Amino acid sequence: MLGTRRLPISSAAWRVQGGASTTTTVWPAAWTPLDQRQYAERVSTRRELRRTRWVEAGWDCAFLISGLPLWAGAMVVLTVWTQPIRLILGSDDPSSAVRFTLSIVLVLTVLLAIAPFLTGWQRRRFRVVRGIEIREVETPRLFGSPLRRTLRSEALWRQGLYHLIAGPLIGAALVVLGFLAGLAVFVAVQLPKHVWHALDHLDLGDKFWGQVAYLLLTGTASFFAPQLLRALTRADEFAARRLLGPSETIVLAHRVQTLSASRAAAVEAADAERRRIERDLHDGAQQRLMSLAVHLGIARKTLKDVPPEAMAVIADAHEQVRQAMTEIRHLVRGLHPAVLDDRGLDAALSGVAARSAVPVRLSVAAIGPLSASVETVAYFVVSEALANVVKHSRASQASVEVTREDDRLLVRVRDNGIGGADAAGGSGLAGLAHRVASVDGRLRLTSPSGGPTTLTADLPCGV
Amino acid sequence: MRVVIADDSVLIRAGVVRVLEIAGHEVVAETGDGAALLAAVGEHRPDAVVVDVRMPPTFKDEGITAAVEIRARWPRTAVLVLSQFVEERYATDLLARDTAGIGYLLKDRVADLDSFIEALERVAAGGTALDPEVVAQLLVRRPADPLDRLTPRERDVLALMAEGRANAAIAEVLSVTESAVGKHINNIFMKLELQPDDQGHRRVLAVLRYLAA
Repeated sequence: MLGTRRLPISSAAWRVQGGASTTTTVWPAAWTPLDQRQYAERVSTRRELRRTRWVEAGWDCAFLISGLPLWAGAMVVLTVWTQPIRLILGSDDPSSAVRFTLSIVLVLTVLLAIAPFLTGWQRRRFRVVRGIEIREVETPRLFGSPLRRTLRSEALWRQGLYHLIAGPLIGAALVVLGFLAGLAVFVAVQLPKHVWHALDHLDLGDKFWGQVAYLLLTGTASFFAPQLLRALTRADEFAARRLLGPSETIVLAHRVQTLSASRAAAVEAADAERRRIERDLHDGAQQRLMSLAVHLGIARKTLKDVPPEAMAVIADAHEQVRQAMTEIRHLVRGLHPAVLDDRGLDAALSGVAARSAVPVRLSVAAIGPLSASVETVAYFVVSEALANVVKHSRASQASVEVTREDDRLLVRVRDNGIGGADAAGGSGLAGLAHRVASVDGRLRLTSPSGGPTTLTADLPCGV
Repeated sequence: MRVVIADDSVLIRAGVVRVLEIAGHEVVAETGDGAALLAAVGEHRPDAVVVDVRMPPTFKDEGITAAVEIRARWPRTAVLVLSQFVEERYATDLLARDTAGIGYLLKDRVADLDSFIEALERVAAGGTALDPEVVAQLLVRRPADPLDRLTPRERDVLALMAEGRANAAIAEVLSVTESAVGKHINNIFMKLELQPDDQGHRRVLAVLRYLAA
């Protein structure tokens, strides 16, 4: 088929697409219905390639004709304007220039007033006839919003450009094409009469060769009609997307919005997972361990007449299970302490500072309300940083300071150890930096060889 | 001693009940949430209550709220709060009014039968029992000065005092004589500029007020 020849798409790609019809698509949560439609549209364009070019030409033609009613007014205005422009250029009469200027003001006023409605209809036309979704843009109405805002609306002026210039020009091109085609049909109908007349009078006449040449020309041109119609259709699509849809800035802004929403969702999902694990361990393993420890404790206290070796085993098991309880408690508290949700960051930091093997001095200023994600990240920073201090720094004293400066939360962890910490090393600092970046924060590390080491997390917390 | 237990985990309740029965105490009621606990205390008027922090319906700090209410409504009932995690913030809430007849311990401590029973009896007798982890959490939040003026041994004594232990118990833990403990305590009160106080829970109160200030 012509469609497949024009754009080589591997058979594998078709199979994938065929398979897609039987599976349900799961969209990312942050995708709006518009994103989903645009994605589906990209898939469906491939399907369109299968149509033959003449069927396509028919669709293109119908599509372009469907635009004519919406362009007609502007086409008339443009045609009328060509008259005064000629007159002004050739005359000294100032009144015609004034009238022309007045007509421009009038036309622009009407245009801006009806542009949103025209855009709405164009959007419907593109969706119904071509299956293309032109994204909606927020446009102020001429009556009903402040004039200043209306006149400064870039979207409105771009729409005006489409409705007054780009669309009508495409319409004009279509009308010219149609006129030439109609003329060719007329000539073709007339030609036998001329031939008959020529045979009768043995004279081909002046017009004959001209008509033959015109027929040959239009015949050749009609062979390329699908391409011409396609080009006009593409031009219309391009103009509509650029002028009626959102500008690149708006598209990018939307993209950033989508991305930050999906990132927030991912971070939120990870936090929820931590909470779930914390709950599961609290309700499960921790309770079983405690029950085990209590029973071993009871055995140790109440069993009499047990051989000393057996009692030593029980005592050892008792000590080990208590050790395991302590370890799992520290692990679970590092995941996501319940007190963080319940009483906030300030309260949650006491526990993490107190269980550090290196003595810690904790100072938390009045930090006000914070979002749950910032609190979680700040807690994680302190927890990881203190774990690093214990593991690598050989420090004898550490300090944790949490302060708030306007809309930023500063978390500073210092130690008096040997320094030389490397963010690139396997010290978990890289993971920490990712975690901090997930809320648009920054992590700074100062760790000269010989110490001291200071790790600062700078977290934006616009509430 | 008559005791009421509140914990939503049947497993843990069973463990605590056995420990109490071995020590010769009577468990008069077992409940699974705060509201049922208050009803049971109203009905049985026990000597002591052993209560979990995280219970239905919200699984947050029901136990703390219930403990505070029990202490306010039935002053003759002592409360020992048990939890898988201890938090100084909950301790501060518990001890806001008074430190008498209140304990707050990690559940881990139940496995050490003798000291758990000792703590419960101390609380029931109007004393205080604070988990060493809570005291450690209170200590990290104090500014360096004047705690730095204490010797390491004096800091140990301070922590044990904050846990609610009497001089004899402190002397036993640190393997020193009671008179040595007395000297340390005098030094601590002098260095921290606290009013020297008699034994009892008023001393615990003074120390905790100082730490949580």
